[in-house]
Amino acid sequence: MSTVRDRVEAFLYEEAQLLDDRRFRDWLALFLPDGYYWVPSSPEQQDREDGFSIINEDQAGMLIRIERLEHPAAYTEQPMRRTCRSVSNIVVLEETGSLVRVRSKLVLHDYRVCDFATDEARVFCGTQFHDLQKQDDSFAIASRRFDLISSEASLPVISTPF
Amino acid sequence: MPGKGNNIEFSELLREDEVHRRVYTDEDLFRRELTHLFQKSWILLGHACQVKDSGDFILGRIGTRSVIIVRGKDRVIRVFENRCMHRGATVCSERKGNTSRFTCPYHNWTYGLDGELAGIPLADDYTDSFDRAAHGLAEVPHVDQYRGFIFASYAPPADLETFLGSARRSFDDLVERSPEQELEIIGTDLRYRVRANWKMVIENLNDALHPLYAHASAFAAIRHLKDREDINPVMRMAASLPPVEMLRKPHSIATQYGHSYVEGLLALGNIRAPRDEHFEILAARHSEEEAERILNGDIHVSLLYPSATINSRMQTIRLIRPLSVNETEVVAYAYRLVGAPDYVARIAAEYVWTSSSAASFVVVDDFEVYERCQETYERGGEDWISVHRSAANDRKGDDGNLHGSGTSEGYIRNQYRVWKEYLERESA
Repeated sequence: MSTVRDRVEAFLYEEAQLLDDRRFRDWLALFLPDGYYWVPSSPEQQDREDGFSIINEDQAGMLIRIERLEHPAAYTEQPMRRTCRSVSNIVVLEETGSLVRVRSKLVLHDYRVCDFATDEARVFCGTQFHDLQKQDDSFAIASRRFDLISSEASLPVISTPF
Repeated sequence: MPGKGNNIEFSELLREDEVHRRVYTDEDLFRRELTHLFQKSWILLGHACQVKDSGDFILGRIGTRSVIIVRGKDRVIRVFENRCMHRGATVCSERKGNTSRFTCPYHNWTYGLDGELAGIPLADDYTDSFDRAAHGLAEVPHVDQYRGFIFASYAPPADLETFLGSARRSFDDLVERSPEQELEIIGTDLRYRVRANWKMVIENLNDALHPLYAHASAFAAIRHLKDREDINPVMRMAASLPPVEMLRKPHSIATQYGHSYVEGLLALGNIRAPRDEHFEILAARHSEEEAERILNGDIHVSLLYPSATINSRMQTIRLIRPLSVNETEVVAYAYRLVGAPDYVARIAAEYVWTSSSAASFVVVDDFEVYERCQETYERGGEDWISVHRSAANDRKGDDGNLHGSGTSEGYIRNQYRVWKEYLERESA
C-alpha cells in the first residue's frame, strides 16, 4: 500500500518526464482549471500580485506558451533543446483533507545542438513547491512554484517551462 | 583595428547605409566605446524615488563600471565608482539598501555618503605624501535629473535637456500618468543576457517590422487564444497586428544625440485608453481633455542612446548594459504611478514579465536572432551589414530630428552618425 509520499514522488517524476518528452499539453492537463505555474523573481516574494515574476502563468498563459512552442516559426526550437530534469529531496510538508503541499528540488540541464557558439549546456536549479489536489490515485496541480537559485541573476533566455 | 595608430579609419567601418560587422566584434572598438561613448554620454541610472532617504543607495553601471548612486546626508544624490581607493575592491555588493557609510572588506577603509574617506586603519602609517582628501570615492562629476530620472556622465556632450531633445517626451508621458506626478519603484527587477554586442539590442528596439516575422510564433499563439476570458489584457492588446504595409504609417523620429521613438502605433491599432478609474482620477485632477491627452499619448518604446529604453505607457524601463564586446545584459523594471489605481501597477508588472523576462516569449525570439547575427559577424565572411531600409524617404525636420516611416532603419543610421561623433572626439 503506497503512502502519500510515494504517490507524490511518482507524480513529480511523471511531471518531469512529460516536460523532458516535450509533451507540453499532457503536462498542462496535470493542472486544475484554475491552477497556475509561478517562477518568482526573488525567493522572498510571497504573493504573485507583488512585484515581478520570471513566469507567472495560469491556464491561458501556459497555453499561449505551449502554442508558441508548437508553431513552425518558433525559431528558438529549431533545433530544439534536449532537457534532463532531476527531481529529488521530496518532502510532504502538509496534508490537509484533499490538499497536499510538497517541497522538492529540481535540477534541469539543457543542451541545444546547433552550429552556433551558443551550443552549450545550461543548468537551472532550485526548490519547487507544489500544491496538489488528490484525484483518484493521483493528483492535480493547484499551483507549482519554482524558486530558481539564480532568479535574481542575469539569466539566459528560456522558452519552455522549467 | 582599422586606421593608423590611435586614429580610427571610419570609412572602413561605416558607409552611408551599411556598417561593417567589426563594429560588433572588435575588442578595441569596444574599449573605446566604454571610454568615449558610455562615459561621455548621459547614462540613465534610475529615479530619485529609488533613493528617497539619506543613506539610500542603488547600484548602477556606466559602461562596464559599477557605480553607486547614493543620497547623502545633505539630500544630494551623488554617483561614485564602486571601488575602494586603496586596492580597488568593490565596497558595495548589495544592489540596493540604506547605509551610513561604505566599508571595504579588505582593509576596512570607510567612506561617508559624500564619498569622503572617513576612516583608515593605521592612519599614522600614511605619511604627508598621502593626500587623504584625494582618496575619497571617485565621483562621477556630472549628475542631473529630468523629471526625477537620474543621469550621470564623466563628460557630457551637452546639458541634459539638450541631450534628451524631444525624447524628453517619454519621461514626461510616464510621469504625467501619475496624478501626483510621483513614482515608486515596483519590487526587484528582471535580468537576462544575450551573447551579442550591445548595439544589436539597441538597434532592434525601435524596429517595427521584425515582430511580424521574428515573433510570428508568439502572435499566432495569442491570436488563436485571444477570445478567452482569462487572457492577460497585455496579451489581448498584442493580438491584432496590422498588415506589413501599414507598419510604414507610424512616424519614426531620431534625435541629434541618437535617441529615437515611434509615434502613431496606437492610432494604427485604433487603440484608445478607456474611460476607467485612472481616467477619472486624472480628469478630476486636471480636466477631461487633459486626461485624454495624457492617457492617449501615442508614443511606444523610446530608445535612449546608448543606455536604455522607456515604455511610458507601461511605466517600464529597460537598461541595456554591455558586459563585454559580445555579451549584453538587460535589466527590466517598472514604476508605480503614485495616485493611480492599483490595477495600473499590476498591468505594468504583467507587461514587464510578459515582454521582458528571461522566459518572455518575445525576448526569446529577439535573442535568438541577435545570437544568429553575432555568430556570423564573428566568423567572418560578408563584411557589410545593410541598414538601407527607407533611406530614400528619411528627411531632416525643422526640429533638427530625422523623420522617417515607422519601418525606417533611419534611427540606426542616426545612431551610427552619433557613434562616430563620440569616437571621433577622442581621435582628434
